[in-house]
This record gives sequence, structure tokens and C-alpha cells, in this order.
Amino acid sequence: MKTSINQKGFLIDGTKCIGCRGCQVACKQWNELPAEKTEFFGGPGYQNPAHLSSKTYTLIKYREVMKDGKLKGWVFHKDQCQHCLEPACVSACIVGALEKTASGPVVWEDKKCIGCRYCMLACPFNVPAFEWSSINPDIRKCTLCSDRIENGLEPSCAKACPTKAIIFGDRNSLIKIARNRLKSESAKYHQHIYGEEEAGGTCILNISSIPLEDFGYPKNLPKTAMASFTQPALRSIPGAVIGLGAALGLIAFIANMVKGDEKDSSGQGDRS
Amino acid sequence: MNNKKIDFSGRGMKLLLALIGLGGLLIVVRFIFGLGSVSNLSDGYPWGLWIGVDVLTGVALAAGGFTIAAAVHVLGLKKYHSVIRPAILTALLGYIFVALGIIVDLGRGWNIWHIIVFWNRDSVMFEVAWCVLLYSTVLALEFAPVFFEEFKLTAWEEKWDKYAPWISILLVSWFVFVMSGIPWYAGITFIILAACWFLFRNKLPRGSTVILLIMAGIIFSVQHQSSLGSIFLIVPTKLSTLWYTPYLPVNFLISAITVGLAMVIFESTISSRVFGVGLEDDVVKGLARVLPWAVLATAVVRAATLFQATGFKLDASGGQLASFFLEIIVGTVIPFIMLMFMGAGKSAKIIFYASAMVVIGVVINRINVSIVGIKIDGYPVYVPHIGEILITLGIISTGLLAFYIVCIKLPVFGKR
Ligand code: SF4
Ligand code: SF4
Ligand code: SF4
Repeated sequence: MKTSINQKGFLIDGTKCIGCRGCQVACKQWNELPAEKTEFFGGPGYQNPAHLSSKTYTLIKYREVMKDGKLKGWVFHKDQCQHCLEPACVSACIVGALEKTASGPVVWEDKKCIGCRYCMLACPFNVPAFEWSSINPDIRKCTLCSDRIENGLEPSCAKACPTKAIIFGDRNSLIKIARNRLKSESAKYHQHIYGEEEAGGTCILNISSIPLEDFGYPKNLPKTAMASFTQPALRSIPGAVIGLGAALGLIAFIANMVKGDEKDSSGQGDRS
Repeated sequence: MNNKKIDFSGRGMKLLLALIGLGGLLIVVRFIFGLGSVSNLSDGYPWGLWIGVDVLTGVALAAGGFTIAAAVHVLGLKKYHSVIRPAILTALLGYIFVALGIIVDLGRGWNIWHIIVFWNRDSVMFEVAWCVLLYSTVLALEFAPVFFEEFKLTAWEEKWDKYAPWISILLVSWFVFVMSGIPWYAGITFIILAACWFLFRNKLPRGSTVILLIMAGIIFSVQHQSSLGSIFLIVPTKLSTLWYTPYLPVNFLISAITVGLAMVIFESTISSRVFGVGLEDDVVKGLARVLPWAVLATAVVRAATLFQATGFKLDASGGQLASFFLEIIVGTVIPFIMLMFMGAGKSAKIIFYASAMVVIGVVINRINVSIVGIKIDGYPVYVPHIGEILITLGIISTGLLAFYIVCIKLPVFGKR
């Protein structure tokens, strides 16, 4: 597993988030994303819109915390692309339209995409979104504002956050900060850094007062990259083809030699 | 030329044409207003009926081509020669289904040629795409003699005899190179296949060109069927353990072979009704004797992989469990009992219905793996849109129509 020291990422601390959704707005502004028509929905969440989409690269998820059947309070968490260290989406893309950059962001190239949507299926966090009503649809998702990072700016959402619930920095130092917080205020946090190891590790590190799984993040994610599940099958191809070729050749030869004596050897073999 | 006319006035034909028209119309809508306008696909459920039925099932059903071709040519089973052409034709048409389905489903189908220039060999989808491309080429080569025969293109036939083996050797070697990126792997492949070719040409009677083509076809087909299973290896947390196992590609391959056999029986029975030309009784009965064992093998491997993954602790939603048992009962239990214990040796009817159920069982399996088995938190469960259903029906009807026309116009069932 390659763990580049220089990869950038976020530490998202749900306990500091006040649910103002400034990041959501800042993201739309920087990426020039249109507003979405939304519907209020009951059930877990209540956030608006209900999920990420081609027009919404990030959103604040809302959850009620219940204790003894009573509402104890609200918790919030910022959902977005996790910028995996070894992204499933990148491994899955048939034409390599998605790319993991050396500094961390996972970005994509519209022009290459054929719209197969395998990246969407492959992403364990259901992040890549599709333009369902476009004639020439693109895959869309958070870019970690790689265009800003390249120019020495911090990502738009992190900059906008008034409570520093999103901090931008080197992944390794963010892990240290997260560990310190979990330790020094252990009562406040659910003791887990979601993203340190999930799916082989992600550039986005998440801590919160409740398990991220309770926000609908995937449960039981493996600690290895998702691509490690498809690699064995793909790597076996050359051997399988060569072995099968040799075996078939042999069988065909023996079987047809023996039967070749029969009178029926008409035409191209199948002219009967 | 065959003087048989195509009859467009029958009731079945009218229905086919109506479905094709309707599907075509909806495809136009889809290309003007986007995928969302005719489908219930969403960011949570990016794949639906078109992938589950048109693509996955289409490919599985087309497996008849390679199962039969393999048995007949590689094992030299002359008795079954008569089924080769119908089987290969189904395979070819199956891939036409698949191609149409993919064109409708792809967001940017016009970029499909990108797979030739932008390579990502970490992607299972990339393997699938190359398999489709190369296997269709081999199938077209396999079927070419029928055209030559029909149109008396003797010169072409000679060229075909000379170049087709080399083309298929190169295609397989190229495939190995594309998938591995290592030239000497491709070299080994080339040497082995070329050696086979020399051996065949010098030692075997005249069938050698076909045998080599068939070998290439089998290689691509095996890769292709199993790669469709590999596609879902990347979603261990999304796909229910009722279907997810690291051996998904093996399950897909074995069930494809089984359904191939069933499909040939099914098809031949129908074609003898519609065209009055089908397979001889003892050929069908021979296939029907093998079929229950293939069904059993599929079930045993499936059970073993399920046990390995879950220890038979079936933890899934009610709907998933229902669909799982439906798949097993319809596709395995009932046809097995019918074929083994219900006098399948005599009754053509029982053989026909049993093989139809095997086919349906595999269709349910592919739908289960790609649709029912997948559950995404926070999104309303996917149910196909009427538009998706109608387009699928339109595509299937197109395939049936093409099959019908080819059967009438070309000597698929031998010389008349
Ligand atoms: S979260 Fe999903 S979209 Fe983002 S990098 Fe990881 S796999 Fe790709
Ligand atoms: S939809 Fe586009 S970006 Fe996603 S896997 Fe397919 S080609 Fe790649
Ligand atoms: S990093 Fe940029 S693209 Fe990603 S959520 Fe923040 S503002 Fe949006």
C-alpha cells in the first residue's frame, strides 16, 4: 500500500460543526454549481438535499441523537468525496478518466468518460454523481478543490467554515491532531477516526460524537483498498488464457486425431 | 438466394414490430432528454434493468455459442454438428443485444472507441469491453462461411481459410498484451497458438481453421463470462452475501455454460416449431442428458462458495431472500427433478420446459446480482421505469427479428 506523506486532506470534526452549511454554499459558489430543487423528507437525515448529486458535491448530514426515547440533540457531518488513497473509482474507470493526483485529490477528465457509471457502483461511499438529464452527461464529484490547491489556496469549503470544523492540511499531521482530540476530550468523541484505514485509507479523516456509520456511511469497510478485491481476477488473465489455450489445443488435437479417421471430415468441419 | 419470404403479417410479427417501434421511440426520447427521462436510475442505483437484463443476461444466454462449439469441435463430437450454426448465430445476436443495450445505457456511447486508446488495466470493465470487441470479431469470422456459401464467394472463402487462423491467433495474443502490458506474455500466447495451428494444419483433416477459430472463441468467451462476475467483486459492502463471494467469476462462468446448453435445447425446439427445421431428436435428448449434471454442478459450486462466504448464515432483507429462493427453486431444483426423474428421456415437452426454467433461473440470478442484491442506504430502492422495460423489450424484439430473418435467408440449419 502506498502512503504518500505529502497527501493533502481534511480533518472533519463533526463536534465542531454547527450545521450552518456555509461549506455547502461555498462549494457551490467556487464550482459554479446551480441550486437544486429539493423536497423535505422525513426519516433519518432531514438534510437538504437528501444526497450528493451532480449539482451538490458536499452536504451537511443531520441526525437526531435519542436517549431514553427522547431527543437529546442534533449532530452534523459533512459528506463529500473521501479522496481515497487507492480509490475504487479510479481502479474501476474503464478509460482511466478518474485520476488520483500525487497531492491527494481525486479528479476526473470529462473528455475521456464514456458514461458507463461503473465508478459510481464501485465507490463504497456512493460519491460520484451523474447528470441524469443531460444529453452529454458528465460524472461529477468533489475535487478537493484541486484547482485551488494548485494555486496555493485552501479548498473553498474549509475556508468558509466559521468553526474550523473542516481543517485542511497534510494527512499525517491531521491524523495526529485527530488522535490528540480523541484522547484529550475522550468523552466527547466516538473513539474512531473514520478514514484512517477504511477502504485502504482516505485523505478525508472524520471524527464525530457518534459513529459515522450512523450517518449512513458504509459499515464493515475492509481495511484494504477496494481494488484489492478485483486485482486477483484481473492478474490471473494472462495465465488463464495461456493455460486454456494450451489445454484446448491439446484436447482438440487428440480428440480430432482419433475421430479424424472417421469418414466425416467434410468441408470446414461444420458443413453437415 | 433462398426463396423463402419473410412474412410480416403474422400476429407475432406485428407485436415484434410494435415493440421495436415503441422501444425505438423511447430511445429517441432518451437521447434527447437524458437517461433520467426514461429510467429510474439514480446516483444511488446507477445500474438497472439494461445492465441486468440486456447486458448480463444477454451475454449469459449467448453462451450457447461457446458451449456447443467447444463440445463439438474441441471434443470432436460429430453427432452435434447440426447445432453449431444456430448456436454461433445466437451468440452473435446475443452480442448484438448487448451492444444495443450498452449503447442505450452508456451516458456517452459515442465515446465507446475510447477503450481502444485509453487503457486502464486495473478496471474489470476494461476487460469486459475488450472481450466484447474481440469475441464479436471471432464470432463474425466463425459465421463468415455461411455468407460465403450463400453468396458463392469462393475466392473469399479461400482467403478466409488462409487468414482467419492467423487473425484469431493475433487477437488472442493482443488480448493478453492489453490485459497484462507484458509483451513476452503475448509472445508465449502467440507461440502456443501458432504451434497448435501448425499441428492442426499438418495433422488434421480439413476442419483445422474452424477448430482454431473456435479455440479463440472459447478463450474469449470464458474470459468474458467470468469477467462479468468479476465486475461485482468491487462491491463487497453493497452486494448481499447471498450473491457476493470472491468466486463470483467462477459462478458466472459455470452458470453461463449451463444456460448455454439449456438455450440450445430451448431454441432448437422453438425453431423447429417456427421454421419446421430443428435438431434431430437424439441430439436434443443427448443434450438433455448432460443438462441436469450441469445444473447440479452449478448448484454445488454455488452452495460451496455461499458457504465459504457466509457459513449459511443468510443475512439479507426479506425481498432478497425471496428472490434468492426463487432463483434456486426455479433455476435448479425444479428443472433438475424434471430432467432426472420425470421421464425426460422420452418427453420432448418436459425437456423443453425444464430447459426454459434453467434459462429463467439464470436470468433471475443475473438480475439478483446486479439489482436485487444491491442495497444502498439512503436511496429509495430501485424499481425499473416503464421506459426501461419497454426499451428492453424493444431490444429483445430486435434480436428475435434479426434471428428470424437470418434463419430464413441463410442456411443456418444446414442446406435445405
Ligand atoms: S470516495 Fe469514492 S469517489 Fe471519492 S475517491 Fe474514494 S472511491 Fe473515488
Ligand atoms: S462513468 Fe465515466 S468516469 Fe465513471 S467509470 Fe465510466 S467512463 Fe469512468
Ligand atoms: S473541497 Fe472544494 S469541491 Fe470539495 S466539497 Fe470542498 S469546496 Fe466542494
